[in-house]
Amino acid sequence: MSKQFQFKLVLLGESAVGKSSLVLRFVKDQFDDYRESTIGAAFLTQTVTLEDQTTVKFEIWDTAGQERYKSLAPMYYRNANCAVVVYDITQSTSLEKARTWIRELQRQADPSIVIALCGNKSDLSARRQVSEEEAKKYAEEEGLMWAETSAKSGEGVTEIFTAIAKKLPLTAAPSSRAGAAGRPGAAKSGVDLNKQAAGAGPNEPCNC
Amino acid sequence: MPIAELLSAVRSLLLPADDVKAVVEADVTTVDATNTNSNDEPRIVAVISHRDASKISLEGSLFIFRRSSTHQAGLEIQKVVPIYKNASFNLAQSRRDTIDLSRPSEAALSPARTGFDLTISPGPQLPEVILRVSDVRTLRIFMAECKSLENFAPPRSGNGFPWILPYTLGKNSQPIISSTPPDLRVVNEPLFTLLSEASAGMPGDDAADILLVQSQWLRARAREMCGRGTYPLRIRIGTFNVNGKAPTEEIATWIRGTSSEGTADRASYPLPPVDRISPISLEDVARDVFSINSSLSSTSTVSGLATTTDRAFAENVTPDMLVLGFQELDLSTEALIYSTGSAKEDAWCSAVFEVLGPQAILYEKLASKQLVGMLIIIIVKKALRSAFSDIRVCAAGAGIMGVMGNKGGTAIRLKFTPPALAPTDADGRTAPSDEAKPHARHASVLTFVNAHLAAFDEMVERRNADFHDLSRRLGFATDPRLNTGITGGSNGANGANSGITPMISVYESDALFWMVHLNYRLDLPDADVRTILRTWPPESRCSTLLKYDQLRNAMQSHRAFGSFAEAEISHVPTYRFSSGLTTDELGYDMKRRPAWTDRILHLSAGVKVHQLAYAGHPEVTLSDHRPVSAVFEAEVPIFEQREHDAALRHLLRQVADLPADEDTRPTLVVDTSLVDFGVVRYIHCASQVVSVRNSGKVPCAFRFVPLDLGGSISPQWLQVTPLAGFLLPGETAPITFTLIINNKTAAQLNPVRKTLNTALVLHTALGKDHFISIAADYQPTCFANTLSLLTRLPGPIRLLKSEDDLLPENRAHNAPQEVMRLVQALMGVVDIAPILETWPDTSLVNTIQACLDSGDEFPFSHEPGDTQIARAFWDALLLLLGSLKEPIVPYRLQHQCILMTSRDEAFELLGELMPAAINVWISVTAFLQFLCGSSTSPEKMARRISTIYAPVLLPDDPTPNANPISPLAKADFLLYFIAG
Ligand SMILES: Nc1nc2c(ncn2[C@@H]2O[C@H](COP(=O)(O)OP(=O)(O)OP(=O)(O)O)[C@@H](O)[C@H]2O)c(=O)[nH]1
Ligand SMILES: [Mg+2]
Repeated sequence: MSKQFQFKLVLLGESAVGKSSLVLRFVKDQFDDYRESTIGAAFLTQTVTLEDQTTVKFEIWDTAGQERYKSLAPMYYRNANCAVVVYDITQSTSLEKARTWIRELQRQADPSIVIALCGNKSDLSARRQVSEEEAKKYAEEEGLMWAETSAKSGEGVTEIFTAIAKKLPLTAAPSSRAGAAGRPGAAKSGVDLNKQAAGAGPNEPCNC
Repeated sequence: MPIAELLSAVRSLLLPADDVKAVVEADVTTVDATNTNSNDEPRIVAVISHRDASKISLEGSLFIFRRSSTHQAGLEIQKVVPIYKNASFNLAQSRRDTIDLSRPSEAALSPARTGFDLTISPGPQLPEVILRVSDVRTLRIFMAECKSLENFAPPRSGNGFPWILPYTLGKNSQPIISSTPPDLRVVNEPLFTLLSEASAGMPGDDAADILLVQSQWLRARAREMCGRGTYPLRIRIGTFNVNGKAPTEEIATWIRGTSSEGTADRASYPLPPVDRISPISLEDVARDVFSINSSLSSTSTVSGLATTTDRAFAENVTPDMLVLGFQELDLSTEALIYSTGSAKEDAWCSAVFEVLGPQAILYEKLASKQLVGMLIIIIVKKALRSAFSDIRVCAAGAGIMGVMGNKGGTAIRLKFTPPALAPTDADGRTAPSDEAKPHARHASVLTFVNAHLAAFDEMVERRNADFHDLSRRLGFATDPRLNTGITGGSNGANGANSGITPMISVYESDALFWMVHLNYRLDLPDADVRTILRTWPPESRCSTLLKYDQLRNAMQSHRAFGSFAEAEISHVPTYRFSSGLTTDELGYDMKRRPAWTDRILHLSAGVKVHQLAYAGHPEVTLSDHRPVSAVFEAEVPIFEQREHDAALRHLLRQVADLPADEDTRPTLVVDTSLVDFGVVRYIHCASQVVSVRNSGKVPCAFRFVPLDLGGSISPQWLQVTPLAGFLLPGETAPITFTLIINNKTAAQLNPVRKTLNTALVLHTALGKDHFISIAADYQPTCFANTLSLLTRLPGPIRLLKSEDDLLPENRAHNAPQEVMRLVQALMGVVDIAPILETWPDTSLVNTIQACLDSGDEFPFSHEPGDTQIARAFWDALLLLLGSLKEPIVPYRLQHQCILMTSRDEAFELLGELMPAAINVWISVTAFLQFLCGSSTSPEKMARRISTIYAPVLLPDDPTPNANPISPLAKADFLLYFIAG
């Protein structure tokens, strides 16, 4: 019998790096040249099936990258099982921003969160400002997954989500995992778990 | 009724996705812990199925209806029982022991008594429902349908059956489609508080929220679509504890009103009320802005009474209805034991008609209900008689043993159908078809309760409990033929909140009025109450005492009469008067603390109610109480029931289908994501509107969610309204953001200039979260700070760059410069009396405040004679002192202050204050003493000014359950400094 898992995934990263585009590619296999900057947080779902017929359902929260909304991001990553931190390979500042996000996640998010660093717009490698080596080295130091993607061509997109899916069930017992990801409409169970988690972390810094 | 007819009647009540599978007429017994209702009239029970478009599943429920002569379909939903997996259905012959063997055999075999029982257990651990039916054939069909739905049924879990919500919405299972108005306590609850718990990134129960928001929208929109204006029904209500006395013609003013009614007390003091511009009222200004804008917030205070009163009486409109509540009509012991007939009622009734004089001919008695000493009478204009229908009465005892009627309540419920030619039909439309079918017009339900509950000062908790008990037990029979109405004690058979209730609650009304003699008292020492009444300036007498009124406090804390409204009281206490030696100068009995025991309250939703007057009648001296009267105008909506039901059905079809996939997700567009208020300053209240449009293909519900569960949606300085809403595709709704800088919020934002920034999360049910950023540039004010901060300001507060620039403690000023500037400006005043009689001018006060903040010179060439300007300085000083974060005299010291017995003692106590507070106290009181001394009657002026300044210098401790300190004692303490 095939197993089913459900996880909450959040996308973080500077504005215009292509978070919404990645989600659109992953969920609908589409691409828009003119996307409006996200002002809010959108919730989408997509399922991936692994070789052993295990299915993993992602509940994806695509958040706003604009600086102005930075204070709201914790609300969306606080009970996430995994985070995809995106930078734009043609903008070295966007990697700096990604590092800040990762530091914040390591400090404030659930300690078991799986973090993937994703260098987007690989189709524009002619204008590359961030080398593969640099990003990869950083990812290894921090113990993160890493890949380059192109939401435009589709290259690497499914792969990175599948890789995350494979990594996830291994890091925790499936039953608790499935429960921790709150369905919309059944978020209350998720809420309680979150409260427990927040209260149980003695090493956690005060996040006020 | 034949089955086919029943089926179509039931079907007409259902939403499009739902269908009726089978129906029976049966005696229903629900085995809830409390109640069996087998003796009642039979119910209609239907099996209803629901097809969910997205899930392609089928769910079923039992709907239990009661017959209702007033509704179009003749039926009204009473209870909905979902059928879960493993529900069981057992058919059996009725048990013989229920047959009454003592009766003749025909009776024993009557259809209602014999037959078959279908015992339904809807799911594990759920109470059984037993249907008793004589015709086994219909019951078999019924059972088969139940069983087939059980096949599809979901297991019992947290959130199934959202589709039954529109039928059962609200805490009291209030159906959306109903001829009975929804429970006023539920509909007056802000919608927002009923929505599921949610926060940013954690949606709550979106499906349930949609149904809630949608149902409120449906009600409002359906009315809007078929509304034809309103009929202004003028209602005069009186309440009078007559203490067993017989009527005299004295009651004329109470019955007919006086031209100065409601302004009577004001007439005796032509002075402007000082508290018009007190710090408290400025807070209220800010709050009012919100409550006016907010259609979702519950109504609370009745404002603007003074202005409307004059208009109402200038028009000299005679009331359409006269509703009179009497208590202690009959004090004889016999009255408690057996009915003494209607002699007393007749006497009072004829007295009422007598004093109506020439107008008596216009009126007739419509209904009355007496229970021992309590009587309620409704008199209406003959010309409107035919507009009143479906009159029901009831009574409930609460006195000795809960059943004897020496305490309790009597009530009358009636329907009012606005007559065809409505005077307010603005565009002169007088649809001729209306007259052809007068009964097609919607009738609104009005309910009047006359209640009398436990005495004794200390028993405030008991009174609150009695109110809730009476609320529960006062109920009208659903079948008007059973209209006998006395409900027994609290352990009586009619638990109104049990499984199936045969009662219509008094709250199931469009407008509800309570005439009460609930014996609520004042929490102040007896002597203080009398002194304040005798010696305090009229303008602050009642308002000061009312702060200690038990009923007001119970209403505010929602312990009793939580959602009711009561107009401002400007008449003196109505209890207890006596004659002879045992009275004080004002005629109050020395043995009873004076109190406002006689009150008139109201609560409404479907019918808007405006109160035009509220007055006591001291001239009516026949009893130990003084009667009280109130005048209301009820805006009774005019619309055709059929048009309304058609509109509702039309709307229901539009909202029926919830989105199933990504393409039909609800989507909203917010027209701007940044709201910038620019520069904002103290006493500032500005609004900006953002519009949201439903850009999707399906209806869309939205709500704001807090960042954290249980947190607040917005910071205190920002109000958002509405907090939830519903839009059809293409529709747009405005959302108003109101920024409020008052004492409370300024206290949080001071003392340096800062950028206010916040982002709100607008959640689309089943869709995205939108962020709306709010920005403002806050400029600090010297109001709403601590005294010590003010003394450490190096200059005007607007110039303070950072808190690091504050002077060190040891170099602080002796007293705040701002207070000194105001006292300085007032020094030129020679005679204070005319200044107190000048109306306050808010804009002048604002100018003064701005100059204090900026350090600018006051822009007035200060002529000492200008009372208008002097008044503004006077008010500014009171406001500034009243806005301090910590009072001049700390709360803990106030208890000592009131113990001082001499001027020297009082001065000595001052040493306990902070140095800056001592300086402020000395300079302000010295100035006040000078003012009083130069007044024509220094003593009187000192007394008057002490009542104005004491609440500002020694304010009440706001912590709940703080030991209250008498305002009189505080004023006396202040008098040591300003008198003589
Ligand atoms: N060439 C190229 N352009 C891309 C790619 N991904 C995104 N874009 C473009 O980059 C721009 C920004 O993409 P978005 O997906 O809106 O970026 P975002 O990270 O969601 O930005 P915010 O919502 O503001 O946080 C859009 O014009 C996209 O068309 C990519 O892989 N290659
Ligand atoms: Mg985006």
